[in-house]
Amino acid sequence: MRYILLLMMWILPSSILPGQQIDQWKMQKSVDDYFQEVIDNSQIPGFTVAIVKDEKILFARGYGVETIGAPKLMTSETVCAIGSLTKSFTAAAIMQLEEKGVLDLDQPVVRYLPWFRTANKTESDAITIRMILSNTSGLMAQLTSNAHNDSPGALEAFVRSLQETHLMRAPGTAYQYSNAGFAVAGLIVEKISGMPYAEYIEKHILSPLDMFRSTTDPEDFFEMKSINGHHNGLEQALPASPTMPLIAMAPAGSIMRSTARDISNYLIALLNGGRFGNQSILSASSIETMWTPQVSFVGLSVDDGGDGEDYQYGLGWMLSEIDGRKIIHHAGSTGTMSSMTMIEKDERLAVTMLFNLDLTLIDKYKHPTMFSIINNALNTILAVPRSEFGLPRVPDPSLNNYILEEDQKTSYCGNYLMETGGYSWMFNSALIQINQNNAKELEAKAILGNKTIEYFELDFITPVNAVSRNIGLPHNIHFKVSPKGRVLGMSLKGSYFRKVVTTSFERFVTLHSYDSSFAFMVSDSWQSEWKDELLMGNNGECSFIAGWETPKGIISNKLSEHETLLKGPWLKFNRSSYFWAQQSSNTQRDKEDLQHLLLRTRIRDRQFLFLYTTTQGHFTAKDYEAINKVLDSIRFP
Amino acid sequence: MVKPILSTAWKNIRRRPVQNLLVGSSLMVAAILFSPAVAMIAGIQKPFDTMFDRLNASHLLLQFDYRDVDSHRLQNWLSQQDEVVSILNPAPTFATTQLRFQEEQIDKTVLLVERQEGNIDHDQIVKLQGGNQDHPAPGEIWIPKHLAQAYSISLGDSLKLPTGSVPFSLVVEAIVVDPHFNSGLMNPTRAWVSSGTLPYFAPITDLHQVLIGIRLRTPEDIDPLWSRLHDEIDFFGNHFEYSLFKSVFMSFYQILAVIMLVFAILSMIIAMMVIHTTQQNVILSDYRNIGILKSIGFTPGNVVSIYMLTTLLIALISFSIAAAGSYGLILFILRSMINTLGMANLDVSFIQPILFTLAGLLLLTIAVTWQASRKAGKTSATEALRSGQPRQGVKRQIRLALPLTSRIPIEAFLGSNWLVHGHRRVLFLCATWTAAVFVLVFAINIGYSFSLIRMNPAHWGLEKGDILLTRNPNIMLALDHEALLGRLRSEPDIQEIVSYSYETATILANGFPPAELVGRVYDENPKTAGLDNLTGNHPKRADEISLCIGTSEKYQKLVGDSIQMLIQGQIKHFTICGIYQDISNLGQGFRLSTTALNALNPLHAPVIYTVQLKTGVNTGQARIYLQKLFGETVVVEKTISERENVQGVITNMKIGLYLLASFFLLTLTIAIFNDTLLSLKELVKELTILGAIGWTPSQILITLLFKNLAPAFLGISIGIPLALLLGPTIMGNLTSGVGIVNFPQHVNNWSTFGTIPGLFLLGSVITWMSFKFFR
Repeated sequence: MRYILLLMMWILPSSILPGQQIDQWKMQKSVDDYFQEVIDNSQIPGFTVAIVKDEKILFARGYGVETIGAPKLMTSETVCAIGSLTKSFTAAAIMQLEEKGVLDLDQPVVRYLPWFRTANKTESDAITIRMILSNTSGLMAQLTSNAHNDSPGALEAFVRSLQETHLMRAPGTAYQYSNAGFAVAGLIVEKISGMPYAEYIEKHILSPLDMFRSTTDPEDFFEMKSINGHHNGLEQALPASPTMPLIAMAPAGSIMRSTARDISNYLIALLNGGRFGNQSILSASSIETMWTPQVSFVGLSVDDGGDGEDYQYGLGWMLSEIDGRKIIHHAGSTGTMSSMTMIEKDERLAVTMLFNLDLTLIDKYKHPTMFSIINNALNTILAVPRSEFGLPRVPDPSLNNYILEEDQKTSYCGNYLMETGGYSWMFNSALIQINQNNAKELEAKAILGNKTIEYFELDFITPVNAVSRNIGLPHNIHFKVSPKGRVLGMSLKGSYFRKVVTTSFERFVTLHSYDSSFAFMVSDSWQSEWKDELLMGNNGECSFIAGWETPKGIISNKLSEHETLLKGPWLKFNRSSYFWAQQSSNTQRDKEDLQHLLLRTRIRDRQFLFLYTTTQGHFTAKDYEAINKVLDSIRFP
Repeated sequence: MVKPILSTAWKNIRRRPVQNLLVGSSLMVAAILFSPAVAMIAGIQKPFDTMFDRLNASHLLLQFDYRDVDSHRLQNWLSQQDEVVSILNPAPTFATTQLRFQEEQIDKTVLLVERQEGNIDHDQIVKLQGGNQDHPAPGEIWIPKHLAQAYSISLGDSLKLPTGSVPFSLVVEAIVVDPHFNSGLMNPTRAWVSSGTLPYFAPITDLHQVLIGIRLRTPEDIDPLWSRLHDEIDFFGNHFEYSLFKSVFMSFYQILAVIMLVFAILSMIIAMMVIHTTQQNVILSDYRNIGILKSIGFTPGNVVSIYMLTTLLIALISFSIAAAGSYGLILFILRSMINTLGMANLDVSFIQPILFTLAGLLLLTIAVTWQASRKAGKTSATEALRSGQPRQGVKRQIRLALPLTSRIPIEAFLGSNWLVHGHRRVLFLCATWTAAVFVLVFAINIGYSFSLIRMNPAHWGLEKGDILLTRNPNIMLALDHEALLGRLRSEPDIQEIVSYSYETATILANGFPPAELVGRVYDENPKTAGLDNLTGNHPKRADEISLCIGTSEKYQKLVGDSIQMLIQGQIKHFTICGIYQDISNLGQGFRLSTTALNALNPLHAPVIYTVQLKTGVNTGQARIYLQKLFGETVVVEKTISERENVQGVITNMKIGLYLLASFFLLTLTIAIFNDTLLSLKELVKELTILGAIGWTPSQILITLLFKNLAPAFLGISIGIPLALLLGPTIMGNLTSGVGIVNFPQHVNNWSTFGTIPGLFLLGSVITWMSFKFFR
């Protein structure tokens, strides 16, 4: 049945629907012209859009291409990431459970997750579900390293890890956009419904709304031909690769994929008291609750093209007044794709746009912003003049005429490895390479694994301060230099990138697997050999075994031959776009005490293992350097 | 003649048990306090240096990221330097603030350092408790004594570290003395784990920090080596040096020793005055006996010897007890102190300082006794036998010379008479009253000044304000500086806003290794926030800078001098336009104007806003309102001066001051009590006459009150103004090390002058008690 409906949707011309009035044809023409103008005059490779009025889809089309350099065009059925629009789905799931009487919005989270706590238990005990859905829980805004986990229990593990965090503000006092909060809401859905979050959303929202090309399960991406989006390049966007899904953040929007047409069904249900065809996913009062302001927060400033008025947040939705219209909206941003959905409740009109470039990261001084594009789409539909809303009213303050001395440029060239935090999770564990181009200008590539995730020029405004210039938003870069002028590192987007210097390793060799499925660098003092499809190395003091784990568990068995004296917990982290798990252990074999460090990562359904062994008491700083060098250099082509 | 002298002296001791007990106890208290103070001061340097040498401790610890500094090159370079005796292999280290014991998070940064094989001779660790292993075993941790004490951690307890899933437990295998981090006053501190333990709880990608220890020939080698290290290696990282370890250890030690010495000196003065007055009192009451002794052939020297021997015997008994007491007290104080500081042993010779102190005190006692006993030797046998008391013509003249004798009540008249009668003791009483009042008023007003830090933060170098806002420029819908400032200025409840940001600069001064310093860059004139300078003005121009007093003193820079800094990657010369005081960064730092920083970085914008509310606006409500208004665009906090930890420190400081004042009040109480008793004994004859003529005990008490409260009046009259005048100077000297040279004293009039009736009441109650005791 699901495939028949899907087929019918493909057969029907996407922009011509029966039952529309003749003026709707005019509207369709004008909006089509408008969207064509947008795609022609921007750096966006492609987007897909759907317009809903009352109970019908007025317009659904794609513009541009799915991927730069590939011929496939965007359509209303192109599967894109919707980002934080997912928060409205999570809120809807909570409202469904409330309607069933199994949950109360104003009850504390600990009633449903008794173990839930942050560092201050008294404070976290006061957090209610309503606070979570209205972004007033006070939970942190940014993700912690604990979110980087791809195991099935990742969501619960992440929520449990919040016990180590402090609230940003007292619960219920102020707006604090929080992905972590929606992760908590997602886990509540799991615990109360007794089914995984993805399954619940599929069963109770996506299926009833015939959203067959929507999913929160990464396993479906390939089958649905989900696109990957683009990164910001110098003059144009750069095609992105599939990224590791952040399972723990699924309820906040890290995973969900959908199409403009599927979102239309969701919007029809929301505009019609929760009803879609014969199905009802929510009551009108629940939708009203979601759209009732819970808290105010600072809106788009006048300089940035707003009117300086505050916005409101309901439950999973934002509420604003834009160009005199009361708009319910939510944007989504994934780093490579973005979405914006606006609902004009009084007109019973809604527009959703899914972009294959993250427009929240686009250079707003050069290109139209997401707010501006979709708001003018609404203006076009309503046949009113376009507005300047969302377009900055001041020039880029970082423009300057400073010229860096030629002889200073070389000192900035080199590799910079991300060290700490930052607010751009996309850059997590990225490497930035700074080089001089043919014109001797400095340019940089942010590299994750073997993919470039951002490409920009460095526009210096002082000897140690520069601005990134590409199609994306200009970012301030501050270089840290020693008193003798040696460049030590750089700060970008709140992250510190340490300049890689030659360490005690004087020479490295790259070791390749026999089937070229992996390669990494080690010091040339290591002797290596292949045995039983495993790469084994030894330098007289330490040894390693690296390779793909077989069903027989060859590497795991190596450890089980020993008597375990101490075994640590599995620690999760990511490095160069790979999720790693690490476990330390101390064992004894033949009266010899040994120390092991086991690292594992999953690459395309295969588990790669790296086991490093030394004699107990001889694990030195040099060993830390050696293992880090392996992690920094390892590639799985 | 020796035997009669000894026998008479012994009888004297037995005859006056109360007075002798008073003399003995005074001497004993003085001796017990003095010996430890002298012992501590004499040996103040020794334990630290001995421990440092014995443990072969590094004079310089370098903590760095092995990706910034090539550790092999660094080690090679160091090994070629003449000053270097030995270098430790780099020990992997990980700094954490997440260490927990039971449910409590350890409120300290703990450097978890892997104890490497082959590193056991250099930077030795002494185990106070625990097994005999040279290294912790996997899963074990060695912690410093002060940490164990602070959190009541015992051997076998588990410390936990979060890992994102199951916390990793480290079992305490040893409680140790760490030659460097041996004081609980130091943050960070260090704990030791076995080699390879760090990846049990931290991802390997977070493990890049190492610690290298360098032992030098002498501590004086640090500066030249450090300067060359910067020049030749371009070292970049943290360093801890000998002077830091020592000063952290010594500051506590020195303060304690000085406080003890002050108390000891006061006790000694009191003891000597007690001896002097008691001796005079005894000679007075023995006047007729002295005449008898002289008439039977005792020479003046024999008579003086009797009284000196009496006091000496008492002193010897007291000092014998005091010697044992002192030894015990020294042991107790030093052990508890050294244990707190995590030291291994007590390598201080106690016997010598005790003997020297007691000998000194004995000599002083002899001198005072001799001075007081001389009168006994000079006594004429005839006169003593005839009248039984010395001629008191002079005193009577003074008494009769009072012009208002006919107009004042008889009790007041007689009280004055008694006062003049014991005029030497009166001096002592006046001095005690003055000292006690001085300390009490000092404590009240210094405590009050500390508690006013939240009302007058600018006096302490902190911006005057009620609320602190920190702008978050890194969110999707952020507010820029101008927008936030504009919105804040439109708020009707806000009086004033001062915005600033922190900036790090490296001072490049000849003769000093480059040092990073954090300063503040103000968008408005700092005067708006009430900030002032000790000398000079606030910076306005792009080339002006003001320095905090500690920085100014360290680099010997004054207003008008220039200073070179690496700031925003550029070497810049600034002219010093002002010197200010600031408690927030221990006297270190600088102030710049936004103009100066914008010239270096045009994109610079303030991120911190100190908001002053209008009078009467509720701070708590305003804070909630601003947080609600601006949501995630700002973090709204209490100002530094209002924060709980600052208030906690102030409360502790006040408790310390009040304890000091209590000690002096106790001394005063004892002094009044003793003096009243002595006076009553001297006046037995007069009291008998007064009783015979019909005086009631109440009248005598009133007379005594007149006598005792006159010194109180004098003490209060001198003590209060003295405390108010000298308080800021004393505190300025004490707090100069933390950046406050001009101590901002505020006088609490109510409490200061409220003490006056309280002190009179105290004097009255003690007088009544001693009178009751006498009766």
